[in-house]
Amino acid sequence: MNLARLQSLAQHHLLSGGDIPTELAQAIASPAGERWSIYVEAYRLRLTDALATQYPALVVRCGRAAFTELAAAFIRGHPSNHRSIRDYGAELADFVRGDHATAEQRLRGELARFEWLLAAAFDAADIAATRVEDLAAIAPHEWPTLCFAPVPSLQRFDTITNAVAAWREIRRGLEIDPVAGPALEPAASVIEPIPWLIWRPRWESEFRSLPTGEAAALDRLLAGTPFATLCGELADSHGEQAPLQAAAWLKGWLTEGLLLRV
Amino acid sequence: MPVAAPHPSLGFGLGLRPTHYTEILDGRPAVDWFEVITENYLVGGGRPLHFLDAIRARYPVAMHGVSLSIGSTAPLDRDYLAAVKALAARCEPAWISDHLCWTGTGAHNLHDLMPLPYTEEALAHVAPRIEAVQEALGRTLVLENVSSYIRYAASAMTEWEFLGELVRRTGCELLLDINNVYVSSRNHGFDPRAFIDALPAHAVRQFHLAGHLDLGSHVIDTHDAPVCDAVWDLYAHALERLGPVSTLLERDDRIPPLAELVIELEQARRVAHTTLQRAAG
Repeated sequence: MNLARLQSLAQHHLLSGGDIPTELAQAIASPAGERWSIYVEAYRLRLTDALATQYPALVVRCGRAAFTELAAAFIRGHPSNHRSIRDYGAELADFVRGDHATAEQRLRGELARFEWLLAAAFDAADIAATRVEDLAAIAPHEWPTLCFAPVPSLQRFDTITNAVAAWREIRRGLEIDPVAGPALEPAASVIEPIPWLIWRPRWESEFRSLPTGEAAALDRLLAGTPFATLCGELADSHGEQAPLQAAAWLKGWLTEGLLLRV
Repeated sequence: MPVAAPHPSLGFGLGLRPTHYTEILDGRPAVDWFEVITENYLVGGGRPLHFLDAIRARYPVAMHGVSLSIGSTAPLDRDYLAAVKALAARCEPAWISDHLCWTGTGAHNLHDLMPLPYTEEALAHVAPRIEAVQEALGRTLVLENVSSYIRYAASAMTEWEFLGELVRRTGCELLLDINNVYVSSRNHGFDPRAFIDALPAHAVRQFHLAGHLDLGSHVIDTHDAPVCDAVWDLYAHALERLGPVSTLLERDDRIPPLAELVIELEQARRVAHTTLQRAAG
């Protein structure tokens, strides 16, 4: 058996499990079943640990045993294609929610997504955001075409459950009693989606909810709409106050370090 | 009689772990250098790179990768090599190491250090890849021996013969993980001192010390426990044979407080001091 065949066989068995193929067993000189199973077991444990590290609140919400089962099912269908194990598991939110989601599944899916985005913001690229005082340097003729892009850490998402409240509750509960953990409130759906922002001002990720009007305006801006155009669009909802409202939001976003002038 | 180490020793170092970042910067612990896991810093920015820069400003570092997959039959990941090279330009490591193993084929990563069969076919496959990596990085690659639980029926030489031949063919250097030698020796029934004695001394750039889980019939490399007496003894033997090689205490799981690791690192200093003095006398 050549090297490529050996590696292909070994990897296929590690990813798919089951009985060790005869051809692979014959390639291993040690007591194949016993010793090879160390690698089989290590593969599952390593990826399960990676998921638990990435999704600590989801572990609490599910309970350790149920999370381990969830991870095992996820790992079977999702081999890692990442050089860093830290990048493994992005699809877990969709996997948790499933196709026919219950309220609890929807909450767990959003909880997972929230934790993933927090982690993504954590080590996103460092780029100095545009500051409020930078606006003073913008010439009058540049304002009509003034556009902004998100800083690399900025994540916008909506929730339709109390997932973020559940995350807060879990974090608080673990701080009070890491062993017992928190009491878990029931999953609840909301009538209107709640918009959220995640970003990293310095070294730690932060998040906040935002009013739907502000979220819609920010989404337009992040989609490439010039700021002047946005002001015009806001006239429908804000009338003469549109430029003032837009300026207030822009000042807030720049103060928070969310935007880059493009 | 010990040899003089062919490379200047960085002394006694620790693996850099995020839980210790602020303590390192605030406390200036008695650690001579740090080894960083390459993949942990192949990120856009944020806390990891900030602390890497700050710690690098005060200590020498070496980069230690886990995803090179030098033994894989999949093509070398050129994007990965470019990212490693860029990180090296940023933190100017004393050297760059990874493992003599494969970590996956195709697009997949098993996130494990899978052993190779020690065959002429594997040598002929790995040696040109090492040369390609050295060319891409513009520096000598340092390769670590991995712990293993299986041997392949096809192996036609020992692990140390395989390592020595790679050094001869490529000019690569070696990171000798003393714990891994011990773990594999227990699992496969060879003399760990024979392993060390057979290595080309001029090529040994670094030692690793670590702990493991002893299950009696076999040993699991966990890197989550203090160094055991048998590995300390083997370390002393390696010092006698190879001289004062840069030594790194590596803990990958169940990371204890920094002070605890510094105390264990002191033991490495004592073992080295005693061994080298005795050998010199």
